[in-house]
Amino acid sequence: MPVWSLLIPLGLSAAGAAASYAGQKKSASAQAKVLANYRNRNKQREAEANAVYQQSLDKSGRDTADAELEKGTQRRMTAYEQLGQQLPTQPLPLSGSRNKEVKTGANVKNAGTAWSRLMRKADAKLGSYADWNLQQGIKNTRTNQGLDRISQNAKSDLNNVVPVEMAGAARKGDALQGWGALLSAAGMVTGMSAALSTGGTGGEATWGSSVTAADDWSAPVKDWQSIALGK
Amino acid sequence: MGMCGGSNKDAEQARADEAARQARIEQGTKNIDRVYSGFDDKFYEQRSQDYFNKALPTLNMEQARTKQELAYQLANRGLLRSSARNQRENSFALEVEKQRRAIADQGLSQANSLRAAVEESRGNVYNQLLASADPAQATAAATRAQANLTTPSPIGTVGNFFADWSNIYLTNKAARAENPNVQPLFGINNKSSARIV
Repeated sequence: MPVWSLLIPLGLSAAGAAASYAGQKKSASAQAKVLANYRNRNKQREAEANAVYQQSLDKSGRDTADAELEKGTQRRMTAYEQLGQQLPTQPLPLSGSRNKEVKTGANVKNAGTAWSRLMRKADAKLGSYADWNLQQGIKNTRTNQGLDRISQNAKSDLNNVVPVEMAGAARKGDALQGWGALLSAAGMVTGMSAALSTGGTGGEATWGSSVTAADDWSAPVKDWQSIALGK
Repeated sequence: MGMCGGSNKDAEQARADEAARQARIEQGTKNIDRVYSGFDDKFYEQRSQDYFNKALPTLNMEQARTKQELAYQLANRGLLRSSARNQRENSFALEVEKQRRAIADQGLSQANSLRAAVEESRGNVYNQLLASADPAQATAAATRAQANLTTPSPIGTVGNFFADWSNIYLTNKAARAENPNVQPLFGINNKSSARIV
């Protein structure tokens, strides 16, 4: 039996195994690439989210609070002043019948003006905390909306894109694995064929009488059987 | 190989779908911002002003009426030229000032409440957009919400600004009726000839 009839099945099987391995490796590599791409996209999202968060954080500190409180105080002081101007004060009469001496509105208005000024400032300052609190709430709400959108994109990517990409990546090695299976099968068939054909004639050579030692193709098989049987 | 080609197409389609979804949300966000852009500082200032316009005439009217009552009381007791009148008038002036500030605070507070309501509405519409990824639906919802927010909201009864101030004297009067030893406030109910000067 020629050596090639032994080597060909072995070669085919080896090639099949190698192709299958290469196919699996290709799939694993493609899947790793999908995950790496997803991580890269997430890094971009993290940078985007960090920018949104940082922008919010920058407006959360004492400087912003002081500026907002001052703004709120001025806003309220303006409103107080505006309302004060819109209301004319009506002086009380000085006598029941002869009402010639009338106190001016300005004089009446001045009654308690110093105290009122203090109270205005105090009220305006206290009220400004509510304004600042509201502004912070709006800022935080909008920051949360921005972060939610980025988070939603990441989730959607993970749920809708990555699984499809992973499925595709898992099939990347299908062709090679298919070739590997084919080669392995070919190797197996070739080997079996060789074994069968050798077994049939070899038996005759060993136990039969019609085949002579001069048969070119049966002699190596006989040698192979001898090797196999340890003879 | 055919299967791989199909998988690539599927992945490309999934990526394209996701990109389209994000683009729709981007567009929807712009639509929401556009619809809500009308809610600027001027809008909220107007809300305060609307309250001022409602409350100030009432305050003005009540101020005049209470002052008249004060004048009658003082005249009735012959206290128009007295320190009691000055004390009472000062007290009333401070009360008027206090009520003005209360109106201003209330107006600004209502503007703040409206701002919070607008922001909440905007947040709801935005959440709907995120869930649906449908800019048209989000725009319609934003427009509906805007229409609701710009409709004038009912303002509760405004008035009775000087009830507390008046009650102080009524309470004092009642207390004096029960117990003559209770000291009168600013001598208004003092029927004796002694006047606080």
